[in-house]
Amino acid sequence: MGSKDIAGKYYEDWELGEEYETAATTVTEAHVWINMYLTGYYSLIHTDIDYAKSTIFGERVAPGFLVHSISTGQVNQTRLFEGTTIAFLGIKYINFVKPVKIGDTIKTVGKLIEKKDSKKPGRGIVVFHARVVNQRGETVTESERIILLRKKIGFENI
Amino acid sequence: MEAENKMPLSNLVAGKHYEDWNIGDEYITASRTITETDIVLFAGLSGDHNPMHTNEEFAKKGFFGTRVAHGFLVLAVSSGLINQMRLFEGTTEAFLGLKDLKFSKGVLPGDSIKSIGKVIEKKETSQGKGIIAFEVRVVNQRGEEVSSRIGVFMIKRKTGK
Repeated sequence: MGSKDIAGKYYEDWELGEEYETAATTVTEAHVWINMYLTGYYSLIHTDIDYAKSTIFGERVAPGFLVHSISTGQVNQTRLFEGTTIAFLGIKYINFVKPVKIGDTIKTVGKLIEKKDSKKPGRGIVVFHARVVNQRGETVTESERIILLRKKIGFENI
Repeated sequence: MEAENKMPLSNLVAGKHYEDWNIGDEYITASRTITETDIVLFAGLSGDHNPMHTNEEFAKKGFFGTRVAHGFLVLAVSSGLINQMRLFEGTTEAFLGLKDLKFSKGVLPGDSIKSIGKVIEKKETSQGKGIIAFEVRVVNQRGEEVSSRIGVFMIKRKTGK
């Protein structure tokens, strides 16, 4: 029987082309403000209402990294990666396509586009194309995320 | 009387404009220790409660041997450290995106990180907008690289285009 710590899919269980769609989250002023406290990222476009009015966005926007962080949280809440992620290796690219304004609601849609065995036993690499989409169905960010996943056997021998 | 006509230093535009940056220019930020507090708060903020970040009993048996900071926590703190250098204050028009983001080493509670950035590319769009690409490395207190990326920004021009 599997351990209760492991609810996620192992490397072997994923098929190329498989998709997921997460629940949605409204990005609030609280997210932007707490992110500011946590990171020290006090850039005016995110933190000053009057300054934000003078920019091309016209109002405060959520930092791109915050949008992407909420997105990775949404993906983890699907439990598809719980206990089976060994490491988040990186991202090939992130494009910030459209701004996310305070009050927008976002969700993440992902698709497995690449699977590659690792040379080391017990692990494999998967690449997901992930789009973050707002309440109007517009893509706000687009990225390719690279994850090291456990295989069903062989991981204990690392 | 004091010189009432003297303008106070404005903090609104303290950053460098597109023309002020040269290929090869570098910056190094201050360091900041990543602690359990940051990891707990970031799990709450992002909703990423993956047990490798939040469950010490589980994480002990895993790859890092203990809870590890979320990659995006490291990235977000790295960008905050850069922001505090005020090199981009009031002059960033847009953050266009990232390329080749790598998380090469785990950041564990108690590790300190700083960002080292370098201008690698400058170019103008057909509408005269200034685009700059920075290579940013994040290193820990042992000088080991924990993450690297290329960040692409639209930076304001002096001519106000």
